[in-house]
Amino acid sequence: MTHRGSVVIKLHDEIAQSEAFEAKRLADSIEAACLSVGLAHGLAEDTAKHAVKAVELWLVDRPEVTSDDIRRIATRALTIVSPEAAYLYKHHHTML
Amino acid sequence: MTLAEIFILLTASAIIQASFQLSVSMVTVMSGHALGKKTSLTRLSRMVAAFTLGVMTMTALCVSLFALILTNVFPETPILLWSILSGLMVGIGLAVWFFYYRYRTSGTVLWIPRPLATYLTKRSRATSMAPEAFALGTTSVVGEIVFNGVTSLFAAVLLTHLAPPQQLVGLLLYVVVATLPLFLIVLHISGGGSLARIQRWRERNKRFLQFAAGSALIILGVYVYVETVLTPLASGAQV
Repeated sequence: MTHRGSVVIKLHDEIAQSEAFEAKRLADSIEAACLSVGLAHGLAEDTAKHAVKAVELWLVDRPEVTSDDIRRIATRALTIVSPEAAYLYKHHHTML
Repeated sequence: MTLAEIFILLTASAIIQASFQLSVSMVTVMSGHALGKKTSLTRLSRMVAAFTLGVMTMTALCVSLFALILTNVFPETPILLWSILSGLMVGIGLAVWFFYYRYRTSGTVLWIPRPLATYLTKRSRATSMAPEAFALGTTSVVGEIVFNGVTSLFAAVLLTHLAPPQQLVGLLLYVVVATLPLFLIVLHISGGGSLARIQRWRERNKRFLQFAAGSALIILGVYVYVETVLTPLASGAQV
């Protein structure tokens, strides 16, 4: 069993939209959070890979999840490596 | 009002404006996204400096515009204008207390309508050059005019009581104090500091900043009312 085919439910203005899980997109946003707190490029890339792997493992047997679930699991994995990057990743959409 | 009183009130008004957070939020979003796109620290420092310059320029323009209008409409500040101004300060102070940050949300989500917040976030993220950052800085002042309009108007009224050379000094003092938080952020980012620390500090202290800004506006409003409305009326002045 694999995470492939997992569907992510997103809430936009209380309207649910579903889309396929994209590991690359998740990795990019985690890497950006890592770079924002000053991690070196290589380390940011490795950290993103590690966090995406953790999310993919969690997605096994879960065909339908919400985007908040993905964010929570990625934040948990990211906190171990860089608490500051995890904080920015978790809160980047609540700054304004 | 004595010269010292005017400058003290001008500084107090600028400190209240400095505690408003839209510009700080936008510069944090802009910097975070620029660093995430692997923008160099030198370029980012230039962008943040341009943003700060934009905020300073728009703040100076707003205060100057208000002062120009006031000078042309009222050769001497009437008591009615002082009372309107003090009423506005108390009203906006209460609005800051109750509405400045959204309740039941984590982070530092501000009062602004969500479509506008989404637009400003998108613009902040899309900014990659210093001139764009300058324009974004000017927009951040206009975006919060509901709150900083009253402090700017008060500063303008105070400036009209000064001689022209003193007006320039007063304007400069107001603009520098009002943009002090942005200067600190420029220094922090240029020194390679973490954005997460800035954001975490803002989140931890948001209720205190909200309470302090609201209270300061209310106190200032009451002081202005007593000093410029009640006292002259008690000594027989006409409205």
